[in-house]
Amino acid sequence: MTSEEMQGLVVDGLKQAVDGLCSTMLGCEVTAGDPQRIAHPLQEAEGVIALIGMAGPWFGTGAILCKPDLACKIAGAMLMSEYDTVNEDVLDAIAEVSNMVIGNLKTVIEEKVGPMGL
Amino acid sequence: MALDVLIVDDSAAIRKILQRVLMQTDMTFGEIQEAADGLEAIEKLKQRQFNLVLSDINMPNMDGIQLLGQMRANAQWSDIPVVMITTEGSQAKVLEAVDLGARGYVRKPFTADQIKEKLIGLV
Repeated sequence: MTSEEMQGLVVDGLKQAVDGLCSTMLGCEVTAGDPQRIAHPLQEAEGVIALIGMAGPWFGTGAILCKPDLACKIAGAMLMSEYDTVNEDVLDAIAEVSNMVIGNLKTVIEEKVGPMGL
Repeated sequence: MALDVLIVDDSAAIRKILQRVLMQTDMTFGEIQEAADGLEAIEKLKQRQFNLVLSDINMPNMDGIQLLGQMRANAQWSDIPVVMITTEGSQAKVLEAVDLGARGYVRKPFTADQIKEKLIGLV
């Protein structure tokens, strides 16, 4: 598989995973922007960060980064509550969002490269 | 009959969502208890008889497959229906859960209707 094909697989897999999450558990629709390559996305990240490692034929780290107000909105939509500040519920909800998004991406990648772990 | 349910997931958010989904069904529930992993679930199972277990697969300490194995090996728990609710999409894990007697499987993310459909006719 070429580097371009790998990138396409990841981008399409992420779009599919995020679409699925938003339509089923967040009650919203999202429109993906153009994919960007960022060398060190975590260096200047602010707000809530969730990280999940992937291991196997491919390996790396999946990260969900969002500002506190967006994290509160996502948690509120998921848990049908209102959150003004980032608390345990919000952190747990974002952790689960990353688990579902990266977990579903893993499934897409596994179909091409074989079993992987999170 | 009021159903006693055990929800097993390391995510408090998912446990909360599943509680809410259960309350939206037409079923009557008695006790709905939660466990954050398989080990905690085993402790809860020792304390009372449940009519249904909803369990994640990937969890720390003891995962859902191990929990299912322990339940099937114990005469007191072997008939309790277990539905796996998980992001785990690998065919091998799904087949392993089915081989161990899982009565259903729902992929995360899920809708309330998907959970309800799985529960119809199960208990």
